[in-house]
Amino acid sequence: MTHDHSHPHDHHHHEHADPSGQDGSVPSSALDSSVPDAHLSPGELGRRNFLRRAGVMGAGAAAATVLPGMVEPAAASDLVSRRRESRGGYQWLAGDHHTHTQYSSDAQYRVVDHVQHAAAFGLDWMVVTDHGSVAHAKIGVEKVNPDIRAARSAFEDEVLVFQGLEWNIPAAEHGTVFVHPGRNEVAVLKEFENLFDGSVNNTSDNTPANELKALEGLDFLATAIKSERIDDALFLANHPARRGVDSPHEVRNWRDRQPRIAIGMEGAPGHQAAGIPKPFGAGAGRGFYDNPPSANSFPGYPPESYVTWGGFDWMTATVGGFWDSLLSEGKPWWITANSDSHSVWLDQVAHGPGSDFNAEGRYRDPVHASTGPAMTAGDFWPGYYSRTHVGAKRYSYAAVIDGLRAGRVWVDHGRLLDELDVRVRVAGSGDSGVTLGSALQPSRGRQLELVISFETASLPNWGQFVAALAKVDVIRGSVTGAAGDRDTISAPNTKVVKTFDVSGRTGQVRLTFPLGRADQPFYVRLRGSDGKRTQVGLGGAAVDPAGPAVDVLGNADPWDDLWFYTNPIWVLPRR
Amino acid sequence: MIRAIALDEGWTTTTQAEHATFDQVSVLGLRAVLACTHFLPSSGGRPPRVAVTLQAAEPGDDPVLGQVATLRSAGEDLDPLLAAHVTGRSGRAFVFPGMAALDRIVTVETLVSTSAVDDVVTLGGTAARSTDRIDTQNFLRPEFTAGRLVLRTRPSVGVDLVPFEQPHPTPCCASHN
Repeated sequence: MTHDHSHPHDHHHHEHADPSGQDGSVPSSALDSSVPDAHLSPGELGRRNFLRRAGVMGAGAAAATVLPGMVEPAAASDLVSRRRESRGGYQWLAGDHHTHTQYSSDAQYRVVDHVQHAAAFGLDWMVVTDHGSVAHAKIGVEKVNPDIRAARSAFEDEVLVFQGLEWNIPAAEHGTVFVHPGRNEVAVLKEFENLFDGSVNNTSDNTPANELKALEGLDFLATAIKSERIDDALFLANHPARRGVDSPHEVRNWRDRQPRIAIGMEGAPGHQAAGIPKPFGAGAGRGFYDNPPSANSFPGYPPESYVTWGGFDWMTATVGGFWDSLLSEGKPWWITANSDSHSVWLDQVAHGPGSDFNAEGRYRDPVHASTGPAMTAGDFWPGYYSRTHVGAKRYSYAAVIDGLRAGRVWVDHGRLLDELDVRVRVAGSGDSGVTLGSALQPSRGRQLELVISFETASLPNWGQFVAALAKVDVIRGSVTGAAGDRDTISAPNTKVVKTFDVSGRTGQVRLTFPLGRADQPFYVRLRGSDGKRTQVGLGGAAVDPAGPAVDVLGNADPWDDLWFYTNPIWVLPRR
Repeated sequence: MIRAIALDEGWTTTTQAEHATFDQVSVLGLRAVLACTHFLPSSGGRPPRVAVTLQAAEPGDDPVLGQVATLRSAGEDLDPLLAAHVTGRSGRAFVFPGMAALDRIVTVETLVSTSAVDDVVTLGGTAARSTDRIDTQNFLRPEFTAGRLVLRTRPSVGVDLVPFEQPHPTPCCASHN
């Protein structure tokens, strides 16, 4: 029996593998506990994992190179252990802050349906975000909590489960609000929803009074933290450009009002299956982005902002666009990628018989539907397609919140990458520099470099193929200070400055890009793709020669158009 | 004789405004020749809303657009809207000459040559090719921009293009099942 060792075996499921190694010998690197898992080939790693399961190597072997106190829980599986290894001081925990359950009027699943899928599909954390509504504020926000607490204990070592809310932001879109678990988590969320949800209070219209209500909602959360009712809370804007109702000044106002709570937005919306062609898919816009402007829309947004580009929201996908305009101001504002899972494509379930959502605040537990697969459903399970990777100091609720707040975050679709580490440092210094979300403050005149280390996908994704990264783009923009016009949506100095062709590269890859001498403040961020669909960006070829292509209405196979994006690193030279 | 009329009755959606306009025109015994929606921002304590401007003819008339004999508006606020409408400076048209025949798949060339639409563009602002096929889905909502009536489109499955504005967009918080 011969094996190509470069082939990415699904070693996770090969329980019957030959303990002596597939070729009759155990490579020394697999046994050498000083070699971290990340440095092993897929075949070697598979063998090491087998040896761990067989008790030949202790779980601690993987921790030989990590800092004390960061060893993962012993109960977690080998794949989870490997994922949770500390790299550069951080465990990169994948998650999803946008999911809906039977406590949403347009959804159906139990909490545990999402949590066990999240665990199976490789997530470390997730947030339950049922829609704010009269029924939810009255009943659902309380009733969902025991389900969440049960899932927390059943999946304690596998998935951190936050309780949150999909807030109807007054005068704007939806947003995720979630809190650190604790004895007041329900009370605070319930009070928040009753006081500040746009649907509950009929404050969704785009008026100055309603815009103020949104800011007061953020103040409420800040007070709840300050008064120690809850340990922590975050807010992120969901599908921000979908209907044009998150105006640029509103986003700036949220962030500036409570910068520790209002931290970012979905770079990519959920509903990524919505563009799969009929008759086997919904045949809609990817992300269900197919709405025209309305009376509540910001008139300055172009038609291009109402559709997705390579699965990403226009605010993020446009180089030199709205997101870059915030980064150019030096405003921390982070991006994420989530499932927004309500109804999973091709799933076969129905609401429990006798359900009365308004009376009971929930649908009864879903049952198997004999009506065939849900071909017009547009969603994936958490972790199946979209992942938000957070650099956390440990596996804990607080550390995930801290990592999100710090912007140590990158996102991908279809498991495009296994690992990513991005650093900006003084060139040749050998020090580790700073990572995503941070700012390097070098002395003026120092030579700087960007170091990108990544590991290509070693396992198949949930589309059953190994995603292949084709290119990595470095995007750079000037930091020019506060915008005079708070409705600014462009950053004219931001552009793609380098594209690395990495097609055919596998395993660990390290790329270095010189950033010149420290002089004026700037930021860099990364983006990469499988190279399958690109077009000249909205700012022209000089800005973005091969950016994401506009998604085709009714024909957007999400598996054939994969991207990753990182949050920025700033360089702020000392004067 | 063509009358130009502006209506601002607190409609919250374009669909609502369009249906109400047809009802009103019918009650007045008129025929809409060109009708547009306009988004009005929140002002004076009123929420954002949709207003309508239209040019309507009496039965039997053979109207020529732009030759407006009578202007009617509900108030001073609407006069600028009406002026913009008559000169083609703003408005999203839901009735325009030639619209009725464009109910299926047509080429860009046919669409432009047989209707009041002046230009067809794709997302990103580029012009469509004259041979591109558009599935109108019997729902065209071109917009006036600098005096020209422009239909914005996006790439789609099966044909080359579909209108950017779709007849049945996914409702917010819909059950997607």
